[in-house]
Amino acid sequence: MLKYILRRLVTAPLVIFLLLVITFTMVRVAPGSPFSSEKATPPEIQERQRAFYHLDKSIPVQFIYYLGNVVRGDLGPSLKYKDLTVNEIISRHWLPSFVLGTTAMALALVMGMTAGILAGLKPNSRWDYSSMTISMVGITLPAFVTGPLLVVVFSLKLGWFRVSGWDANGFSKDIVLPAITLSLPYAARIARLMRAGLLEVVNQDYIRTARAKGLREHVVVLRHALKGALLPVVSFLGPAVAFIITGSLVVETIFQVPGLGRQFTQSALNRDYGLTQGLVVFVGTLLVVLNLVVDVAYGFLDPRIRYD
Amino acid sequence: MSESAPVVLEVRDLKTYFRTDDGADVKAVDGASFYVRAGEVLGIVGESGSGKSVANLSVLRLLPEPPAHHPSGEIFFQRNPTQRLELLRAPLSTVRKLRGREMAMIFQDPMTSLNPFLKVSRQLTEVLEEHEGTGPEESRARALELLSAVGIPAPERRIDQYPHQFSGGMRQRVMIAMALMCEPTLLVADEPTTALDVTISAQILDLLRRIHGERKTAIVLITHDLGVIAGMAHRVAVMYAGKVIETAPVRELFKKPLHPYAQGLLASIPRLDATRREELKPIGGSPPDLRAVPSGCAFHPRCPHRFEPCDKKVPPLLEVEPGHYAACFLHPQDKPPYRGPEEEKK
Amino acid sequence: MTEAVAVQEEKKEAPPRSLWGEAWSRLRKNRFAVMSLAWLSVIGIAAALAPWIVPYDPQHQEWWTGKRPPLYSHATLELIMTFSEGSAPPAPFPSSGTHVIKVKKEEARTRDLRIKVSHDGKVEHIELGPDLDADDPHSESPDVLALASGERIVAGEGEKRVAAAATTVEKGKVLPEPLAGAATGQAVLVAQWRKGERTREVEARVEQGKVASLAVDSKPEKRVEVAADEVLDVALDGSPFVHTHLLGTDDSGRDILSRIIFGGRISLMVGIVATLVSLVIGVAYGALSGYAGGRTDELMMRIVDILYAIPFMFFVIILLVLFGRSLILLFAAIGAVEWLTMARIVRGQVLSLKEKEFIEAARVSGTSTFGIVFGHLVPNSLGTVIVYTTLTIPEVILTEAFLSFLGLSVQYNGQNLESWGSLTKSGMDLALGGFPWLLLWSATALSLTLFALNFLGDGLRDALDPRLRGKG
Repeated sequence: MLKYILRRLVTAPLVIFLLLVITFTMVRVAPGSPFSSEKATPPEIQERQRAFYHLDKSIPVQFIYYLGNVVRGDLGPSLKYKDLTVNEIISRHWLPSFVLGTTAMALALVMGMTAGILAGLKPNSRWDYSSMTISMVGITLPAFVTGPLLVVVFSLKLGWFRVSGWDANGFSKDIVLPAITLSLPYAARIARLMRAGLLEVVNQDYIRTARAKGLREHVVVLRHALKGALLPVVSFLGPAVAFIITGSLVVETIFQVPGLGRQFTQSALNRDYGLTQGLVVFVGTLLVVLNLVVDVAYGFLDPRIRYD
Repeated sequence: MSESAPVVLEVRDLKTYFRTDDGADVKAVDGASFYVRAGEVLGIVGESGSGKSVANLSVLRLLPEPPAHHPSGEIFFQRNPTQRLELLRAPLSTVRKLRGREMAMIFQDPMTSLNPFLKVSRQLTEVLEEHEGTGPEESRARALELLSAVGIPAPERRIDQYPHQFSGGMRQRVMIAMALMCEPTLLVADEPTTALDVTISAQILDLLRRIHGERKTAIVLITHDLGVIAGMAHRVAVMYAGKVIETAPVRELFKKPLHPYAQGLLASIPRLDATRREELKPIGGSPPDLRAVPSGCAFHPRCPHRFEPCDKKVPPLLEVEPGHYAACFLHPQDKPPYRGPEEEKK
Repeated sequence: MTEAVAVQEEKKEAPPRSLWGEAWSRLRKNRFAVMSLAWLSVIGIAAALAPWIVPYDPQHQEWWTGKRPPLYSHATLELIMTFSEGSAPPAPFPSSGTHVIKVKKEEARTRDLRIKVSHDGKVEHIELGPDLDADDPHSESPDVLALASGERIVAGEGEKRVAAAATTVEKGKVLPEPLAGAATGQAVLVAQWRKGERTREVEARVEQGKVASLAVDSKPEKRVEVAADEVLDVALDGSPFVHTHLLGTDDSGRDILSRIIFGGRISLMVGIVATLVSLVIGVAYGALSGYAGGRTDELMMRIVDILYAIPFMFFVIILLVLFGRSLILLFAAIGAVEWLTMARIVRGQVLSLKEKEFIEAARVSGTSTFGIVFGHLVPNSLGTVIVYTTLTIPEVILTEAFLSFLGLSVQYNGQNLESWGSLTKSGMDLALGGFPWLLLWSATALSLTLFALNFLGDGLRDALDPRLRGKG
């Protein structure tokens, strides 16, 4: 187990480093300096700006400065919002994204596992076919289709929710539609993984042993089958976190949620390289950490890994 | 073994077919009959595909239905001196209450038959908790007691480990302990040593023999290894293509096998040292395709003595010699047919 | 149990046939897969032949016939048509004959409207003057001004005159097209808000290229102005020339069917080309890694693991923003993301294949490593590769749609190449304004195609390897 965690701990900084290298190179290699769009700035001020951001140094030296800043937790300034740093923007906008993401993930787990377990316990039944077809729809329908459809039905026709917008105080019913939209594809995938996992496990010898012991069917399923069947779901959770974060780019745009996803899209479209770069590093690091957590959780779930 | 001991399990004319996708049936068990008395060890021997495992999984109703179904057959289980249950048509909930409590099963592959995600303690205690409602501490004490009884060293420590921390032989010991948790009256051991090394399998057999000696549990021992049978069973049933083709007390069978298939089986092992595990040498030809079993006697294409009626009529199981039944036209056909344990009692 | 299953499986292998023949007959039994294949063929042929089969130029705008429902028919008309006695008739009307135009009678009521627009194009203030016809002297300043049927906002003068119907002006939101075009930068838009329900009939008789006589509801007139969006029906010398939009029109009056067919062209092309890029990289990388084995394999797969952990979507976005939204870049970017899974799968295949006897035979007979990898190992994992290629295409299409949705649709010669993603995006804006059909059509086309590709991929997997049925 220790070796297993260590191996992953070694890769994590490597991923983050690679992330930094790629973002840094991309932004530096891109045509046009970040300041080129500025209105006629006097040359000496431009010089001072360049010196302040170390743009007068060679690229590797610039990278080292940048690395130093990131290690100290300073993600640099925003180029568009002159008086804001990336850190400040993150601290203002992380909450809606976090609330939306966790709610969607929880929803996806509940819906996906319920549907998957029911389908997996009665394979080839009507319920199995219908839930697997629905989940295929869930996987193929992108958020930018389901989102507007939900809005048309529940906001415009039924008038239950606002079309878009987000209550600044955090939890309100504004979260319902975006969370459902964001969760559907993951719920669908979890359902399929759960079903496949169960089908795999149910044919294992140890399930037959459990039945031969005379255990009641729900004990066989809940105690003996579920844990093994959960493994594929858990290993999906790592990438799922990444998908939820990127998926929220769209959902936050549709529902005008003032979260990090929208900040990222805006910053990219505004060519605010400073903010873009900072956000990528932040989100990337978060992702790496969450993946690590999922990996460790996987290890705990599977005793064969835990005691390796 | 006393012939007056009560019959614990009696299987009559059991048929277990598997329906395939194209609607045809695979006749895994096709009219098999056998029985076990209290305290008796019945060996069931046959090649793989002869239906010996399927027949016993049918007894515990462990086969998924569908695809499995039973066109005919009765399975009687003597629960106690007064209560005799028919299992094949009984509600599954009734059978479930017997499983693990009154009839337990040990499987072939200890590597896959234990749940890798649960501690050994959990897998042992849950049997007691399910059937007797025993509290966790009492169950654990019982589990510890059984673990040391089956020869697991340092059970206090091992009980809280996971199956993958055990070796194959140790896992099979755990399986046996698990089967004994409720002191069942019947133990079905489905090739308990096939997946193990030679030395380990000898130890496991010793253990089974000791347990039988101490507890007098009735055992159905399924194997393809006549050596295992010779060392342990009181009576043998030889299965071929889903039917019992010969059944007799073990000494009778080894002394004078009547069916050419049984003769072939015996000829292929060294007779002097019957307890040592030996690879079974195949008889010429290959086991029949269960979708298209040869007409007449299923063994006739491989039989060195086949003659006229063999591919036309199915030979009945007849009492060729007292207590020794065989299904083969080579023997006189005017003998009394097999009628189960009651007949034999006379 | 295991014995019985083994027997069952033996049975399935009964008649020896070629792997592909067997797979094909299995696939044909899968109803969903066959339906998917049919849909994909239809969509594929339509996309390939798009320039020849579309009913209309997908770029042709006629905003006054915008947002019309499916099966809407109309004539092609100028924005504002002025007929005046003695001068030439306006554009689409030929220089002779009698033209009858049925027009909504529209001057019933007029109110002055002032809309203040801030520098970022958002509506700051709406002021609606008194309704004089209703003897209501009160001005209003509503937050939302939603036009009912028959109501229009007319703004601008002369050539810049624009009219908008069936739209909503909302405080804090951007002005809807085409009003936004009339109000650039910080401006006060002076407009009229008009109502009208009754119809009138304009009849113009043209002789020798000049309007000879003019009548409105049979009453002679000297000069008549007709706005295109008021036109209900046009008869040119008795015969109407009519455009029918099978699936309706978008907000600029462009034909949705044509746009969806052309959009499919872009979506499918991106899907296929980017998948091919990922295929080439993934197969080469995976095959080499699997064949090399040992430490090289370990290292190569660690690299894949690390790349897996990077949120590539962000990089694709940055890449497109920084280096321009060119097709080539998009192919490269998406292909570079999607090859990872393919590499893993091919490696797994190669690992299991390379121990087989025929590879041993090839090695002994002196085939080069390159020859073994690409001549023996890759062709033998073709089935799996095909399955995952089929499953990668929808992912790529989805990625492109996602980018288009965020406003990063691919450009060519400075023009946006509209894909199903960008059509869905504009459809969403319209759907929220109460015109759901554009969203429905493009979303349906996109989803059905993704659906079909996924089903086909699953079907192929089942057909090529029945043991995997029902997994994943």
